Formats: sequence, structure tokens, C-alpha cells
Amino acid sequence: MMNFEDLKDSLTVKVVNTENNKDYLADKPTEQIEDMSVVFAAVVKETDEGRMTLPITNEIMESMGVEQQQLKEAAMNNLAEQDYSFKSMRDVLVGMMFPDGVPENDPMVDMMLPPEDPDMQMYVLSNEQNVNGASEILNQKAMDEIAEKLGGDFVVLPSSVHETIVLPLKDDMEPGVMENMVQEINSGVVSAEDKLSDHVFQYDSESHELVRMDKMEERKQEKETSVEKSDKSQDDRGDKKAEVKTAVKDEKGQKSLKDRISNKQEEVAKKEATREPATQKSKKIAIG
Amino acid sequence: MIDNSTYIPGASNDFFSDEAYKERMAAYIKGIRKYRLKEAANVESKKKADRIGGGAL
Repeated sequence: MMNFEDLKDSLTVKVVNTENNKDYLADKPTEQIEDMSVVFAAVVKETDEGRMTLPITNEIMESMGVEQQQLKEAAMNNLAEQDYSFKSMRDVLVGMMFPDGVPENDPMVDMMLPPEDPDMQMYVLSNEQNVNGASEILNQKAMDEIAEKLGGDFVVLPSSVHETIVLPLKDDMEPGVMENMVQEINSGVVSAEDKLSDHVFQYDSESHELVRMDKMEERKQEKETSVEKSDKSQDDRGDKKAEVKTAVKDEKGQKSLKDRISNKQEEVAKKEATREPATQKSKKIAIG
Repeated sequence: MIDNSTYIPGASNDFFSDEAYKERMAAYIKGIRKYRLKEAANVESKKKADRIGGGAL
């Protein structure tokens, strides 16, 4: 029997494509993010080149007597504590392909490396081992720091389960065209087990959420509508408050009127009591 | 690579493949380059259309 206390510090998360991993996911507790699934695993062994992990199945979870939420919390805490890797793609590739320095005046180099143009910067987000590093998209701390570095929202291209590609957001980006590009690359060069998602995502730095880029517009409109509704409801509440205030004031006014009438009646009664008996004639006049 | 001397039922070895990584990056560099060129062409044709539209006025 496994003990959660012994295992919790080694818990991590993996993000995989749901469709391509139906059998793998069948006996495991999972969380769904669009077409991706989050699974939990315990790191058994780790080296510079890779790591051995034990996926947490429903059976293991039950044997430890814990809920999925506890697994998630422990795994997320560990993720936040670990170092992530966020580097310019150019730097990563130069390091891999040209460890002795980039050859000058070689036209092939420009083809192999991303352009140096600051408007076309591409970054790679992963973990230190570059293994199952797409899970960093769940690392709130990492995502917020990237947003700060890039000056706001950014685009996430799901290149594989091991890493994602980050682009600074530009106003004229077309989600549909970018999504086609991702899907073409997925079907062309990414293996079924490495494929992460067919969608392009945007990190909303205000709400701290990763959202499908093609749903951002819809989401913004929903937010605006909800803000309008909330403003309207505040206005309505304001009107209602004003109505209540008026009603209270009216009541006060009525009370004072009642008081005034009552005071007047008392005065009249007192006068009546102290007045000398009137003549029949005057009474008649008074009545008349 | 992790040695397989430690056998744990259900555990898996995940490792980094240099070749697969380079291939993915190359595809994305090409894809983004193509995307930006298309984007630049769209901006240029929009400018051109605006100029023609402006001339007609």
C-alpha cells in the first residue's frame, strides 16, 4: 500500500492529448483542458537525460485514501517550486546546433534559425529536463512571469507534450490561420505520443487563465456583457435604494403630517374645552 | 538515458529526443515565417487597396 505523505513531494503533472491517449487515460484521475488531459505521476528517478515516472491510477489514488484535489494541490505546489525553462528559440537552437558559434555568411543558418527580428521572437517554454515540459502551462508563477516579461498576454503554440512555443501577442494575429499551422505540423512531424493539442492558446494575463485563442473574442464579449449587466444591476440597485430612501422619507413625511394633524387636533380639543359655550346661532353658523 | 535496472510495474521512461525536438522547431520556424510573410502580404495589399480607394475619392 502506498502512503500519500511519502509520495506527495515527488508528485508531478503531465499534459497529454486526450484523443491519442484514450486507453492510457482510462484508469487514471484526469483533468480536462480543451483537447488535453492532465494526469498525475510520481517521479521515481531523474537524470539529465530523462526521468522515470509512475502514473497515478485510480487504484493507487484509492489505496492512498486521497481525493483528486489533494493530488492536484500537491502536484501544483511541486510544479511551482521547480525551475522552468523559458528561452529564446534562437538561443536554444544555436546551443544545440552550433555549440562552437554561429558560422558567418552561411545562408543555411538563416533557414535553420528563427529570425533575430524582435517582432518575430519565438520562445520555448519547458522544464529543466525538456521532458513532459508542456506541463509548465499549468505553472501560474511561470505564466505570470512570462506575461510580465513580454508585456501582457501571449500566445502558446502546443508544439508537443515536452515543450510549448510562446509568441508575444500581436493585435493582427489570426487564430484560425495559426491553428491550421499547428494542425499541419502536428500531422506532419509530431508523433502521436508527442502530440499535445490542435488548438492555439492565449494566456490572459488579467484573469491569469489559458484560453483557446479562437474563443478570446467571444470571451471578451461575454465579459463586456457581464460588466454591462453588473453595471445595470448596480444602477437598478441604486434606483431601488433611491426608491427605498424616498419611501422612508415619505413615511417620515407622513409621520410628521400625522403628528401635525394629531397636534392640531389636540390644540383644537384644548381650545374647545376652555372656550365658553357658544350661542345657538353661532353654533348654527359654525356648523353651516 | 535512465537505466532499466529499476523495474517498477506501470512506470515509464520519458526522455528527450534531440532529433524530434529539432524537427518540431524547424517546422515551427518555417510555419511562423510563412505566417508572417502572409501577414505582411495582407497588410501590403490592404494598404494598396486603401490607396486605390483614396484615389477614387
